Amino acid sequence: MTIRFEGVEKTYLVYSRPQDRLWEWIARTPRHRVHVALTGVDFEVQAGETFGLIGENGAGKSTLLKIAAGTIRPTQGAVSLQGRVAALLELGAGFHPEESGYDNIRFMAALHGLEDGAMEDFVARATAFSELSRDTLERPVKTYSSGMFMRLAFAAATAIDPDVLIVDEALSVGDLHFQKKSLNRILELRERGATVLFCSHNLYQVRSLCQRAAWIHGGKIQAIGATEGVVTAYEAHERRRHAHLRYDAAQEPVDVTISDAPKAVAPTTAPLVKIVQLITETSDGINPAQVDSFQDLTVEVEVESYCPDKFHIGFALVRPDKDNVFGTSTQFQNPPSPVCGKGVHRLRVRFPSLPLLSGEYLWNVYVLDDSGLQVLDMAELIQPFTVLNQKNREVGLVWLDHEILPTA
Amino acid sequence: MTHPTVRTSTVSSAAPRNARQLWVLWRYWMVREFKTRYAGSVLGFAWAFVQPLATLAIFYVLFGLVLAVRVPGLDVDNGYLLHLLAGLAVWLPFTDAIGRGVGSLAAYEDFLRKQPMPAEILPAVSVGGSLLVLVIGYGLLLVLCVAQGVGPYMSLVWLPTLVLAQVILTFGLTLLLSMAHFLWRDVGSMVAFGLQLWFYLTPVVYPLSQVPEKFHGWFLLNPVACLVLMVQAVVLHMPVPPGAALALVAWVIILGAGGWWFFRSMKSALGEAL
Repeated sequence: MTIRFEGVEKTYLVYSRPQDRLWEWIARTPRHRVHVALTGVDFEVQAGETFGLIGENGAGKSTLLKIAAGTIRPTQGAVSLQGRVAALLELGAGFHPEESGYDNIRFMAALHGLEDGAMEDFVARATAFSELSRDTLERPVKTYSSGMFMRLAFAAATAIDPDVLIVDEALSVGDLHFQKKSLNRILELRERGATVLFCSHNLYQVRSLCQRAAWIHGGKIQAIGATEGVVTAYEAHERRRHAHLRYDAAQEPVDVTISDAPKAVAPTTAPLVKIVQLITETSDGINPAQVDSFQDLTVEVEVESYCPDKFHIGFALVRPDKDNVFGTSTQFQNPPSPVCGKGVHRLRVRFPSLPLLSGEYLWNVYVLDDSGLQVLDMAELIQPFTVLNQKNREVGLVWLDHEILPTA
Repeated sequence: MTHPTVRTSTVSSAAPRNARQLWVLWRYWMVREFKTRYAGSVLGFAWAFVQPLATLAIFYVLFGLVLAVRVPGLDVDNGYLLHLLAGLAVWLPFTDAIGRGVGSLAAYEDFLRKQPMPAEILPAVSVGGSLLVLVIGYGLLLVLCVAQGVGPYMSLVWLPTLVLAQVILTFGLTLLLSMAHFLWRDVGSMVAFGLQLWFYLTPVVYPLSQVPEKFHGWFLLNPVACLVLMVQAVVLHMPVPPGAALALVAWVIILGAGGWWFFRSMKSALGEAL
């Protein structure tokens, strides 16, 4: 179940006009330009390992995933992997809108070459996971809502109990319940020893899921190794790149290499702000793992801006199941008080008497543009801490102000 | 781990499977093709019979009754009907497979990029989908022949070989055209027009004997004409121009191997459009 990339290189022949391919084929003279999408990829994903791929858009991550999944072949080198492979490159590819949910599941089973008993097992697993009713599954897929469609597609894609799971950005779709469920399914497969190769822009997810990661840049592996180091290096690069894009648009980013892909990344017009860290502080110190109910707590969000534009900082207290307990933002102040200016900013918020009762809590932090609509950066489910309600006996999530009236 | 596969991309196709798995997929895909083809229609599956029968009826009324075309060398009441049916038994499945198959790769372009599977399945499904019309056509032909007292001749033992030749020839051409259409979308439009022309260059609605003898040799350059002539010879004992059998063998080899070779040599373009 090891995935081994041996000197993988992928070049695309680019024809500027369709007839060029015809002339080339007839006259045997080259009429194309070569685009190197990946080169010198040489590494191994160990059996049972969860391996993350990070990098900019167009860096070659998806190409690498497709090569691993076998939908495209490397120009040079080889990929070897063993066992059953489930590739979640796009959910629901191959579903027929006229066919019922059941028939589409069976079709996915047939794509894996399953029949008879194995097919029935597959259908049973996918059906159970999809949480769709019998009635629904007997209807044509074209009548499904997009959420139902995604549930079915994910269920059908992972029902083969893969030894190797290849996941593209596919998971950032569907409702929260579905996202959580599909993430859990991936974790479950991982527990069972499946090798997971996955690519994401959500660096928090990569940090928390992957043992090792590779940063692909311009078709080459820029860094590979333990996740933390690779992700940190990538983040540093991102910061540099943003600064460059913003202020030296004419100048090439420092370490762009062979591929012309990064040039395609146009300077973004949205302000560039990155979340640096979130610090909590109580009388017990910095970032306490445990907080008492009604303790005085100050939270500090540190962000770094690379542009003079205005932006908003928001944060929320959430429970591990992502239920929002309380959220606020500089935009919600009356009047809204956006942050602006280049450099490091710290938003400090004090809860003089934190009204949380016993439980696990985490933080979500968001940086939004001036309109409050576009998310510039986010960090979700970070800095977990426990609240203990030791002095009072009330139960629940939060303390609500109340008064027991005298009985009549 | 019941189906372990070892993949080394330099030697094998994008998603190699054993033959049984391919067979399962092809069969299942066929079922789906049939189910969805007539989904939402009232007559449903009956359309598979209505279409060829209607075509047969139109040509029979037009050419057999109105224009009263006669088939020399086939002296039975409905000689023209048998001749027409022998031609349509070849032509209808052929045009059905090509018509569906030519756009098959282009239609599943996105799918091929996302799902590892052997692309040959798609043209194979188109050809498989035409087998129903083929069975209906040949079945009807044989039944009518017996009913009209034509044969059955000993030469019918060659019929399975001819059907096989037809399937290989059709598959080869479908592979070729589907890939060509994927690379150059002009092909689809050309094929739509070309098939009409091709139909009238094939002795289906008219018997070859109505064509001046000096042109007979030209028909050997038409693979479908070779096939039609051979079927007419085997089932109806009609005379064929010399060399038709040999030409058919040549065409089966050229189109079968050529289509396969072209498909394989261009396959790397699938799923790779930037």
